[in-house]
Amino acid sequence: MQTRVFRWFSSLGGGSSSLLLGGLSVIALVCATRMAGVWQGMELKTLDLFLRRRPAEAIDERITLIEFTDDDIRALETYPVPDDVLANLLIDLKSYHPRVIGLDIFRDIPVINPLQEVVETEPNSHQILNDLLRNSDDIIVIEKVLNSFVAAPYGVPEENIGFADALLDNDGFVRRSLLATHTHFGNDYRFSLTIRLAAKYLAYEGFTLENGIRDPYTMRFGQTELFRVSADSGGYVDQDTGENPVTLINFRHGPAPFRRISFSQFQTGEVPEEWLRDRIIIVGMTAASTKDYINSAAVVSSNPRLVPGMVFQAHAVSQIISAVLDDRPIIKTWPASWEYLWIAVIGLVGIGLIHLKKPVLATISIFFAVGLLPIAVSYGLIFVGLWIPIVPVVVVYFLNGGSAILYQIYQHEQNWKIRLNERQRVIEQSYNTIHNGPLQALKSLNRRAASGDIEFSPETLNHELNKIDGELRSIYEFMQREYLTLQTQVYVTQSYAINLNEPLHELLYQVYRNKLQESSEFFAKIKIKITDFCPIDARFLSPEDKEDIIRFLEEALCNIEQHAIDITRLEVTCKQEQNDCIVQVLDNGFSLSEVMPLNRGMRGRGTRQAEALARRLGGRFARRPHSPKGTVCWLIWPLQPPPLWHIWQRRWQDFVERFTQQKP
Amino acid sequence: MTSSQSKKQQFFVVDDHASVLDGTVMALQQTFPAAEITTAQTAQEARDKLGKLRPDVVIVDLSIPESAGETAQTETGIHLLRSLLDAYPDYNFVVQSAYVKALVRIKPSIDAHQGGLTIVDKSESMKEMLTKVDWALKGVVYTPREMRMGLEVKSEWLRVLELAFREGMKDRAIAQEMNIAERTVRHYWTKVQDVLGVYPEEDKSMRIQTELRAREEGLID
Repeated sequence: MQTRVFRWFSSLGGGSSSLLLGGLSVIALVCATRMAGVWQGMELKTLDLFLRRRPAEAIDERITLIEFTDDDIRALETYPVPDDVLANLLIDLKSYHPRVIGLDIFRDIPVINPLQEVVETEPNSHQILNDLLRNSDDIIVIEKVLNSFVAAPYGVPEENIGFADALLDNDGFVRRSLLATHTHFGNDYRFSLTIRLAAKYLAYEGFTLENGIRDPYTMRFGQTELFRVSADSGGYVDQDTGENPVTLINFRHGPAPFRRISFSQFQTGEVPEEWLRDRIIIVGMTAASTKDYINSAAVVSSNPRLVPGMVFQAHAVSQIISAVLDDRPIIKTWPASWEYLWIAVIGLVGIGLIHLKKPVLATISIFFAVGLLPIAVSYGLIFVGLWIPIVPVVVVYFLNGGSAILYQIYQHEQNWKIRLNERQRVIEQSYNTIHNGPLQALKSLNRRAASGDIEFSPETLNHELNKIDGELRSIYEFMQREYLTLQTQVYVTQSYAINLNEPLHELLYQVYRNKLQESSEFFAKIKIKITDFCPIDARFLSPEDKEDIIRFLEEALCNIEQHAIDITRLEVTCKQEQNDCIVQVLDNGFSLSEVMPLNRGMRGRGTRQAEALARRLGGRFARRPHSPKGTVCWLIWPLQPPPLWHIWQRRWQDFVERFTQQKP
Repeated sequence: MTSSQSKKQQFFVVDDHASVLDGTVMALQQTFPAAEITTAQTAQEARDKLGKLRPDVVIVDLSIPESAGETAQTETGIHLLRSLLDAYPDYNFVVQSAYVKALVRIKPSIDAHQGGLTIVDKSESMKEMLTKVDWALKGVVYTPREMRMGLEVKSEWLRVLELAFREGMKDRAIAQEMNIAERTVRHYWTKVQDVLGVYPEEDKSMRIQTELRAREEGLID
């Protein structure tokens, strides 16, 4: 598995190993910084943004909020809300038969109404409220259990108490809901108001609160397991949640997710009965003066980012009930390994952009278009309740893709500069040639004609004109060669250039011919040259492959020149045989290497290159003595390209070989 | 070729210069009064017209434009010639060029061509040109010396020489021995003869000339 991955890597960098290495380092760096928590803040902000940018959901009819606003407190002319007011409110609410009432107001100590006369003999208002709370099975009261302790009203049974603590993220915002926790105060395992309200409501639907099956540390109603976020889930890093059940809150999105009724509205009887009957009612404070607020950027709120505590409770309860009854998604995260794999894959896609051989503008457009994909995917997945990494993904993509594209632009620029210089050189050289040759000859002819030279016979004129003709023709030859170097895919040597777009067998023939001309002294001595250059199907060969095959033939011919003596016959073949292509050079000389056989460690660069080429093409290479005398050197490769993985494997072997041979 | 007497000869001439074209056509008409001559001035026109004809000889100038209005380029002519040689492997061709070395690039295609094929340098006289047309009609292959690299042969051609001059076989026997068509054997002869510089001459046997030259060059012992 490991080597297969590496094989794949080695083909990614598009020939630039530094780009590949750089890209892999970027991926490693981004993963490392993610583990260190560098991206946590941005990841959480992005989650908020995505949650906020969803279409509005319908109002949750199951929950009704009774709130004490600033106006209500002004009307009461006292704060905190006195016990008798609360007691009367709760008694009234109970008469509508809600399924459960959550009293999101601390009442650990009595709050006497200063406006009422205190009558010592009768049970005072605090006792009335306390009796009511103690004896009502359908009222849940709150306590505070984290950091500091605020008790629930005295005597209320354990199962009617839920804590109201909010779990703050590092940036002070609330995105998670703690359902139960171990505490250092009193009884060690406590449930939250949220889960108490949800459990009471769902009990009417036949669901009971149980431990999770897949994750025994979390909670479950029927088939619905409340996905537990741990210390490093999603964008979170190193959050100490113990093994407590904590869920991400899939805030109900919309301008008015719940019915909110102010205390005075309720008092004046403006509230339809069906808003209360069979509902969850949460009673709490939304008056700005009471500061019962949490920060959330995921909720649309009149006061940006400030959400009343009771509204937050409503969101947390609502998501559980909707998940159980309506299959509304609970936000889950991937296992860490998947997340890092996702980051790495997108990082590799970024590096892969080097393979885009498109005009610069198109490349840049594709770069941005592809970059939008992971963003769109993560946004889309939020709708089905999956939160995957986005910031690190965007960072690796833009770093890797960006450098791949800059690299391409740089290369393009360099190429262009080279070609411009080349063009300038051709122009200058052409002019020089014309100036030194034909122009001078014409001038001299002119002068001699003007001076009435007596030796100026028709033969001389003919000779001179022929000379000029020859010189002008040589300029064409020169320009032809230079013109080719201005084109993109050319193979250039010191003495000639050929266009790689031409058929391969013709290219090879030209190479053969040029080599023979270059070393004409040696090759002219070879009496018989047998050549067979037949068309080869080169559709599957890249320009680089072609170049290497050309180099192979050059090298083979060079070897003959260097190592063979007494050759009378040279046979060069380039043809297609059934499903194979073959390039072969055969001589009948006496090989020097027979006298001094080369051992494997001393193989020449040419041999190594040929072996690497053969591997890349999925073919074979050999150079060995030929009977009765001479040497044969051939390269065979299959017409059909080998399967991709095969090429990767070969490339990897090349890579390893190159690497090991760099060491002494 | 053999049908030249029985059927009206068809010539096809490609050249972009109207004046040159007229000159060529006139000269051809004088020498071959019975021939029907079709012309084309661009590569495109040549491809279109050739699809509908079956000429006895195709005379192509290498410096031609792809289509009307474009500039003439040797490159275009080379591409045209290559595609024509591939498409009509047994037609007879006469190639005219001011720069015959440019043809070296498609030497593999020229070597593989089975019909007559002669190459004329444009600076040569009209008489030379007409001779080359005649040779092409006879199925002869002629490439100028500067296109060749000494004795450059194919193994099949050597085999034909061996069988003919060492074993004394006739073409039919050679064809059977090599498991090829008899006309392929004849095609190999023309190739070898071109390599050895043996061309039709009055009162001389080409076979005997070929044997002499082959022994001279050491192609057969």
